[in-house]
Amino acid sequence: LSSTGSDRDKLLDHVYSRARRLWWQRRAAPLLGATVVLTALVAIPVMARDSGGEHRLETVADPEEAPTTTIEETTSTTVALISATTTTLAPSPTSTTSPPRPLPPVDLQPDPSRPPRAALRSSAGEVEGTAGSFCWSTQNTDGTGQGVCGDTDALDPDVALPVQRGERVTLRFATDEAPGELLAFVADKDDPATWRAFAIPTQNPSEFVLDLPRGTHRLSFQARWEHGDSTTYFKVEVR
Amino acid sequence: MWGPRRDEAFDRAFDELFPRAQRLAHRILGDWQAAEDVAAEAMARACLNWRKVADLPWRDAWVLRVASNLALDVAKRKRPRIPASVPADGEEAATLRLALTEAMRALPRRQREVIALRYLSDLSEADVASALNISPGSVKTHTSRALAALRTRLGDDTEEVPVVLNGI
Repeated sequence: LSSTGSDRDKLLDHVYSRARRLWWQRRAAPLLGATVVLTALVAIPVMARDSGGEHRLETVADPEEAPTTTIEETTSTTVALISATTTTLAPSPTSTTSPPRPLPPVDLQPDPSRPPRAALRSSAGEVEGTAGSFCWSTQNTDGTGQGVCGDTDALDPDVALPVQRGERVTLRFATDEAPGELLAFVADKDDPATWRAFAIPTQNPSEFVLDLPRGTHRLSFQARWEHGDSTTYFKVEVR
Repeated sequence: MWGPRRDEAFDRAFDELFPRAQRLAHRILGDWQAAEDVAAEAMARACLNWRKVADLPWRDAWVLRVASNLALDVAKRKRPRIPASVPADGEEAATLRLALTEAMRALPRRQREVIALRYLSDLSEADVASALNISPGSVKTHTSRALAALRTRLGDDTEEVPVVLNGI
């Protein structure tokens, strides 16, 4: 510290004092107040568990604070960090088998607990995207909620959507909501450093011209929604 | 007394980590007083969780990650203003910081954290991967896409975003 010893001690005192206030807010304050009945119903099991063992409350790790790989529950927020750096999240059936030609329309079933699934359509048909990294939160009617995040490396879907060079394609998401933001990326090689952004309309569905050189390319669409964000990967074969 | 008690190990860590957290927050906020508040809050949260955090191999990164998130939250609540008295160079830097803060806040959380730890805290890719519990490959991916997104938001002519990040 560049400050004097006195300043340092004051800062340290402030930090301890603040930590104790946080401790009180998280641990004891929920037992008090006007909502004591409702709060107690939830807090009693926590206190019982806590009183029998180590003097420690198993509060949820704040996603803005602590890295964690466990799933923990609390009255405020549940965070599930799915550490799956190489795992495909919610892979689509079409991504593991060779589909017939032409590719039939994809039936995207909405799942409110996850970001909307996506499909990409060209004149050759339609393929479902492979879900990548995401964060998604839901609120319950009682004020509690849960958040889920998943991480993946850049994914390489098995099935490539055939596309004519310069063809207009359509990206659609399984929701009536339009994304607050929609970013598109393309990579020509496996090296993630080759990802580069290109502009598409922030709409659902979103139509755009795919003007890429002949060959196989990976596409990544990063969308922001009211309840979180999503990343979806596609592979296209430009002919 | 209830709650966290004085801990010599924490006091030693405080001497090392508080200035780093303050510098990181200052790079985001451009305000030393606000940065001190953010660093103190980050250290208080570390103190609160000290038994879980103290022995983590990514302990430092944990604190810096908290500090960066807090600083970005502060930037969101209080858009920093450019003082009228700053010189032209300072004004340019402040404007750039504003634009970068806005652009960083718009990134998905994981990309935002990767950028904050990698470029504003100068951690290695391996340390960032440990701190966020993701693979180094995932750090590369998040970094690449975050930089591409920042380039898009800041304008196509901002080719050297890492240089800009290091310069604020």
